[in-house]
Amino acid sequence: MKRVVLLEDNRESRMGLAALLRSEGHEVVEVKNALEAQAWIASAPLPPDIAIVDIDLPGLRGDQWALYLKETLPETRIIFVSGHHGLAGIDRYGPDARYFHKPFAIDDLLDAVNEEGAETARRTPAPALV
Amino acid sequence: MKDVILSVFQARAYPELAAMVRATIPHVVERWILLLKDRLPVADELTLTQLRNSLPKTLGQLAVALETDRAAPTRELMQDSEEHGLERLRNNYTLVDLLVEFDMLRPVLIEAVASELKRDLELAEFTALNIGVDLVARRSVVAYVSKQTQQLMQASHMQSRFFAFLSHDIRGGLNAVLMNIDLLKLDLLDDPRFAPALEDLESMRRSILNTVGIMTRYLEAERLRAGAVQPRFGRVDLSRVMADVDGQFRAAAAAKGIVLVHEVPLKFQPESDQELVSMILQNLAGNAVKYSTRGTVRMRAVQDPARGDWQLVVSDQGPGIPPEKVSMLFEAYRRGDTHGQSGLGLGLSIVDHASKLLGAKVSIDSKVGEGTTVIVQFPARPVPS
Repeated sequence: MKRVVLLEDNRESRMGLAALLRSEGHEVVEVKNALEAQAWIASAPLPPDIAIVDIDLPGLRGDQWALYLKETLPETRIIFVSGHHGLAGIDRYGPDARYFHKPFAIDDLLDAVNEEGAETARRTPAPALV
Repeated sequence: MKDVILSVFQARAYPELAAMVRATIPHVVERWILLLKDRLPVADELTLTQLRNSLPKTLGQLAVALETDRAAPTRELMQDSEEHGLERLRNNYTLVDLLVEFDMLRPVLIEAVASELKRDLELAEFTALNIGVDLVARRSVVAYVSKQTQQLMQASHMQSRFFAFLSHDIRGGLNAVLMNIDLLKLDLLDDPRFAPALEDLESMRRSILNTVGIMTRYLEAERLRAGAVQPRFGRVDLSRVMADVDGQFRAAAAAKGIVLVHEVPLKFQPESDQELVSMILQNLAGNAVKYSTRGTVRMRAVQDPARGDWQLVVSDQGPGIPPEKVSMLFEAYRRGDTHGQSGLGLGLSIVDHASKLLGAKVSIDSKVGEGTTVIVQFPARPVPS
């Protein structure tokens, strides 16, 4: 089970992907813009294992928000999903950052979510705040 | 930059010639308009009226420029000529139409001035008049072409942006559809009554991915053609690339009874752009599997240890390509014998463009009835052309 924050503004894509991730046993928080994502991260008891981030968003772009996320929570693995052709400089988001060009085969994305990221594997779980 | 025509034109003053040009303006305008009506159908009434208004000014400026050896009047003439060229572009004249205008002005003006002078023109006067017309024509044409080039570049840029936006939006929308198809499949999975529906959903899913695949190829070809792709050189993991492409086409090949094999020298990781090499191999392997109906499709990387250069070789035992059709295959949207296969005709054009970016050369060796071998010859170190 992975804790996933899913940042996607397209409602159908977001709800569909969230439902598929949940069916695989992952815990998913859905947010539709960077502001919501930021608010959730700030109040979440545990950092997410994975952030699935759409790039083209109203307001702050997903790739820009992800830079901030990488700075504050370097152990959260980032998976970009976008209709754009590639993302230059994906290395900035860590060696295990991934990029999926929409529309993607869901199995590939689920595999990527299930992968043990280099950094995630090393991490010792933080105690839950009660 | 020194303007040669300008310096010749300014070498001396031609006061008598200038006076004659001025005197003949009404006659030249009427003669020219008659000729234009006759030979240039694109010149409508509005254009002719514009000419009646603007030509006297141009000829007047020409007279002033001839009268003196100062540069200012000549520059003014050149500037107005540019405006004339731009006006013609707005009037939908072709470049040839624009040149015809000046071809007709030249003899009309020279004949009128000679007849007004009541003597033969001196060589210097004849030259000066010709240079005057050339100056006006050249400036008009340069302005016309510069503006037209700028418009074409803008249009092409807009088109690229339009494609990018369109692709982005279509991808986003189709992604939502795919997610929901997958979700629906999941809901229906446990109930055997829905087995046929599941098959339909799977076929919808494949059809969407296939459509997107075609769109992607089209956009890739456009990006390559527009020069929007910059190679990023590094070590290419050829074994990985070959295995990926093999995996991509294995099922399609097996369905047609074709054996797909690949060979890479051990630990061979040449310097090139992995994404473009992968694109080249995908297109070549895709073509080979698509057009073959039997035999083996072989993908090989061949290294020349002495020279350091290397080749990608993709061979099939398909129908082969007649020699006269081979060169045509590299053009986008053109196909040889299609053998009943659908397609856009972009594969080899993509291969050719991508290879050029990597400093590689593509050659085809094909025999009808025996098969085709495509060889992409890569340099030891990438030398982009």
